[in-house]
Amino acid sequence: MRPRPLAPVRVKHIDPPEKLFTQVIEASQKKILKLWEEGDRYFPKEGTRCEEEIQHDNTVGRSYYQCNPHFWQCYWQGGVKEGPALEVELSGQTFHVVAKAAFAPIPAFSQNPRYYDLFKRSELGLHLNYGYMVELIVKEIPGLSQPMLLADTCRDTYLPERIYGYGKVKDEKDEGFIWDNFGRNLFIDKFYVTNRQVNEWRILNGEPSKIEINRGQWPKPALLSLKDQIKYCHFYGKRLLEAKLFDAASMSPADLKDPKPSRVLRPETPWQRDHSRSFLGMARINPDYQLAPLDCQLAQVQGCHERYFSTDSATWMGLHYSLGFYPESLRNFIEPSKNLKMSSRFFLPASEWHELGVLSNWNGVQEKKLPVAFRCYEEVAP
Amino acid sequence: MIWIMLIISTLSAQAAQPIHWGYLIELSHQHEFYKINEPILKPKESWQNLFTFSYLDRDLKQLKDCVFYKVPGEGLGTLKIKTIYAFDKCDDYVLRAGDKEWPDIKSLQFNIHENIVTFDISFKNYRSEKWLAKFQKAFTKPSPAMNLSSAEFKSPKTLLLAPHSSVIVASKAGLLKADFQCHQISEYCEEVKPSVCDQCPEGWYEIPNGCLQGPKFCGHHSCGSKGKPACRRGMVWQRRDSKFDCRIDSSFAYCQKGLSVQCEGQKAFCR
Repeated sequence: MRPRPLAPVRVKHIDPPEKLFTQVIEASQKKILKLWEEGDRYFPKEGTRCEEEIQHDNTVGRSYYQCNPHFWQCYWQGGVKEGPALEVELSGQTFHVVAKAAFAPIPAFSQNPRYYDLFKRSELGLHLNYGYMVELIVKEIPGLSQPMLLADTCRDTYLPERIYGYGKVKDEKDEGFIWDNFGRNLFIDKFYVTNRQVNEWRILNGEPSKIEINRGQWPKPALLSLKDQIKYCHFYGKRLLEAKLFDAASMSPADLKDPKPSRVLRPETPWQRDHSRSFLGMARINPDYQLAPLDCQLAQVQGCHERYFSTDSATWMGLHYSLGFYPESLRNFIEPSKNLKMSSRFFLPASEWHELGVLSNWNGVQEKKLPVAFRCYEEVAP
Repeated sequence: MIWIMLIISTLSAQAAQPIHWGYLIELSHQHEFYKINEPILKPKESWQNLFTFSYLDRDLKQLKDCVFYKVPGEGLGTLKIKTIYAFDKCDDYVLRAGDKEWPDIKSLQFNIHENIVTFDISFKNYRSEKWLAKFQKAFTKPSPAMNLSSAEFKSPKTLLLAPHSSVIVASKAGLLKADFQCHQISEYCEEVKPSVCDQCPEGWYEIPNGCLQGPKFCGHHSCGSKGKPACRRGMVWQRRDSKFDCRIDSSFAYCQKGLSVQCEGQKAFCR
């Protein structure tokens, strides 16, 4: 009799904890992203309990908490609710995913270990220039953790390809300076750069002593010199916003479906083509004009309550604060001396400054009587 | 129930493959001759680079695992993994010792599914193992559209990293230097080399030359001022077909008021 050949021994395969862990983390990604990108939805009515991270007051709109690392920190250290955890159902089991305080404290903020770390690219390879490092664990699967990079997807928004106009024109027949951005990927910051964001830049730059320590100031516009505004934007691979891009983002096109219109209009406000039909126009005619709450949401002018991160001032492409709010620094390579959007909360509603395409000059130095905010834009290479 | 599952799975864990194979980023190389589900038999006794898998360590260092296999011949086969910096070449490490080696292999074959590479390995003692290399969902660059952020345009919203740091030191210089030409475009508007401008640490600038894409350089400059490159204005706003040659029609660029566009070759400057 021939000996029976040996059958290969296949080890009975049972999934290792690593595999289960990876599956749970994968399944939790939607919830993690929701918490990160939509922090405003998780913000409790009664406010947060994390004074070192957030000092909320009603002058700050909830959109400030979107992609906000301080909200992430506050949430996981229990400042939003007790025992925070993201529940994930997998194969009939419930797992609890939580962030780990895996990062060193940032003494300038607090002595607590951090639930995130600031990331700035220092090597070739990654397409992202910056982001936030976090680390997750699954309560039911001890001994394993998952580091993860979260992108800042809330900061800027795309400027569609089309023909745009810059500045004002003398009459309707005058086309003025027109240009186009076909073949260019332009993304503009939706809001002013805040003190919170500048603090992160200071920390990454090794200048923690220069950070703004008053937490109430963190959501407010950062007031840097022109030189530092440019440095800040460059640090993140961006550029200080240009006047012609500001106009493009603020002046609503007559027909969104036609990116190559035969005539490029120059609306005088982001909401109405004709300035005289807006509340700003009415205020010019009527010196006793009473500002309505909606007026102040569209353009925060003198007489309005101070408020940040309100979203009602959005233009056609998602830019906020194009009239009113703060004076804004702009680079202008067409007319370099016109580098300041003067329209702001420091001028009465009847002021001539409150009109698109009207610019002033700034010497690049911050002054108490005329603080100047800024924002960046990014051109993503093809 | 979960705890029982975990205890059992821990006791019989067979995951010999590296932990970070659970969230690889890219299959950056695959041996061109070997076919799926066929044992690798030739050329006997030779080292072959079967695959190269890219991943990020917890410090966001981009690394790759070179998966080498010594094909069995007179002796048994050996699988070896060498982790190197992403911009180094696996070929330079074929004959060096791996970070980890698995000898006594009688046969090895692989399969490729969507986002997964599996290895079936049979050892000398008839023991067999199944290894799994899993990739994170491949990133497809979205078409730019309203409300899209630059981060979403460039990358997935989240990136999973290996749980450990690597001791590997990059053998190449860090980021690109200022004024490095990151996108080479010829005078005839042909792309000489694909753009690497997204690797410029402080952004990049373009010198318009009348092409849809002009040459680009790392760093920044103030376009439009005297002696500086002109600023890009576009080639559609004119609403006419034109030869956007610097000497014939320089309307694709502009300078600040008072200066005019002048050409150096095809490149537009302000004088």
